[in-house]
Amino acid sequence: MNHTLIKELLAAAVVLSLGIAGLIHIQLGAWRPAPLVPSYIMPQTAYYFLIASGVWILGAIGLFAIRKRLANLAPPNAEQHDLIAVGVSVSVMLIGAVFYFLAVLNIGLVVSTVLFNAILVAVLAPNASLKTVLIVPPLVGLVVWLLFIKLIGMTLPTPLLF
Amino acid sequence: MLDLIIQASQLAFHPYVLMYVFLGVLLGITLGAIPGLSGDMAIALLLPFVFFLEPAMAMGLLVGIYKGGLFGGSISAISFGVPGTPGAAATSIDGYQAKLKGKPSKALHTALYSSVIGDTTSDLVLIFIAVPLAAIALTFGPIEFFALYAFSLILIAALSQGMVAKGLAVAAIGILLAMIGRDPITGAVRLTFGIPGLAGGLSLIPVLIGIFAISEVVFQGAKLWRRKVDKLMDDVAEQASLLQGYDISKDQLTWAEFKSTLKATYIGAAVGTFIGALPGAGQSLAAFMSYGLAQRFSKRPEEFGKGSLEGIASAESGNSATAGSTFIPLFAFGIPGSATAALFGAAFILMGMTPGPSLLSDNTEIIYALFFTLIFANLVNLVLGKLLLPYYSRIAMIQPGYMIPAVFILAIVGTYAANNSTMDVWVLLFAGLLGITLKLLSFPLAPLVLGFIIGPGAERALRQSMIMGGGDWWVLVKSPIAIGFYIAAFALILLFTLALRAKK
Repeated sequence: MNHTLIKELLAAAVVLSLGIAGLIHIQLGAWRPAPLVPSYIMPQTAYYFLIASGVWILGAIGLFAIRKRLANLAPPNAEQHDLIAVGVSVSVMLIGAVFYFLAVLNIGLVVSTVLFNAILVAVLAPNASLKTVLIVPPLVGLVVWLLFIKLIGMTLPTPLLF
Repeated sequence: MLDLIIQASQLAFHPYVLMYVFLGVLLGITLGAIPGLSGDMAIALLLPFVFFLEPAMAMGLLVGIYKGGLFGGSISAISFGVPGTPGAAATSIDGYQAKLKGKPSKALHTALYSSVIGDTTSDLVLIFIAVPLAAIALTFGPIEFFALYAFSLILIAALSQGMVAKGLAVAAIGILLAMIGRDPITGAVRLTFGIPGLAGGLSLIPVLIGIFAISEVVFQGAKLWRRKVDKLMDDVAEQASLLQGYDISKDQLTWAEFKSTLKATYIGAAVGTFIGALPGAGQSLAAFMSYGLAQRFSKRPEEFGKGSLEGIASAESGNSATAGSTFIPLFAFGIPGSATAALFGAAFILMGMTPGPSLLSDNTEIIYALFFTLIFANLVNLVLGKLLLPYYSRIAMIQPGYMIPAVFILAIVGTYAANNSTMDVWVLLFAGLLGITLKLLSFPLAPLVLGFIIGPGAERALRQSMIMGGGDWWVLVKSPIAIGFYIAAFALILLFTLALRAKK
């Protein structure tokens, strides 16, 4: 199976699952009754659209498969993503962001920002040298401190450090 | 009326507002010139600061960034063949060829002038059309409004990436995200899955920054990690070195050359203004359609693709002419027709103004001041562009490796700072992850944001219509205006589908 086909099948599966799960939730969940306009009327409409979209995507896959033009399934200008690189980036940035934010709340904004920025630059920036890793993060820390603490007076829990 | 204009101009030309416009244009051009960063991303990041500024100043800053970003994208497109923003992709076709032929200054100046002309045309159309349209919209009832919301969602879903099914699916996801929290009619808590922090619903800022900025920054991070940018930067440095030995005095845009591009510029301005007013059509489509039409009506169509100044002018004018008209649906009906309009809509909401037909009547002074700012920002764009053009090509060489981590950190801290809310940061990261997943599966993101923003309004209109119709769904097609919207949506989709097929 080619890459585009897998992607489209996954897209259809995600959309259909979400739509069906939503309708089941409406059937079994505790929704407050209201005459003519129940709370779920809009979510229910959205779930119907999701299911219709999923069926539409599957129909398009079938049609393109019959015509043997599966390569044309991809949208124009569709970008081919490097899944390993995206995985690494998500791990470093998003999971890192969770730890960074916990550190901001518990250790301190400036120290956490300098450290997290240094890690991101070291991992992500091509041609990053020790000199830039030492210079750029403190500058970013300074900007963040000026913008958020001095300029707009953001309040944070009292940190362990500064 | 005269009093209103005087008051609005006093507001718009206050020294602080002017300073923010200058700052915004400078920031917009700088960020737009760096591949991977865009004006939209900058606007999303600056939303938390909107709280701390006067409305006129905040609008000046955001308008400046938007307009600067539109032109900034063309700098790296022309200098290095790498569009700084998606809308500048068409500009790079002829712009980069012109640069390779030793005409970078002519190409950049053509882009600047056509961008400003297209943008100003579009702003004027906005100013003269939004007010009467808003007056018409005030007569709409819930049935017409629901049809209008449906019209916008269908159109944006169909035109965002040419994939109707995926567009509709993400619009539905956007609506579902907007439904999280307390039901405005029954007061019941919906779709929170037992998380108390979600009872108040999802805030605009984390959702918008997560969808637009976080997902994009993570993808840029992935590219950096793979050292794709390493090669790109080597190319950029190599291309920059080519510029060292060239004589700028032989590369001045003459009056005759400027005049020869005017027809293409006007074509771009007209096409861009029309496309910009349609929800979902976007800058890229406007630029490519303008480029195609300008080539068809050009006396020298064979030069297109080989460094034609007309090609640059049409693409850049078409791209920039969406700037003003994209606000028409937002001002008149409260429907953001593009990602940028959605961000501005969010900014209005954060400043306590509700986008829609009452926006103009409730905030007349601010909105008229915004009209002045829109036009003034074009002048600033022209002046700053003209003065700093020689230096902008070097701005495009700033390594994204150092910018991306800083942008990412600003997004996290900015989101927290907006409401001092920890929950907002978790929502931001969730929205970022959602944006990444949808991008990996080739879903367009703009319909999701539109669905999220207009979801509550659409729900209110639907429920009011259902009450009026006694629970009968057929009530939705009992108004001639509503039927007109549904027919118009399908007619426009058909028109664009046929146009795209003809292009293929």
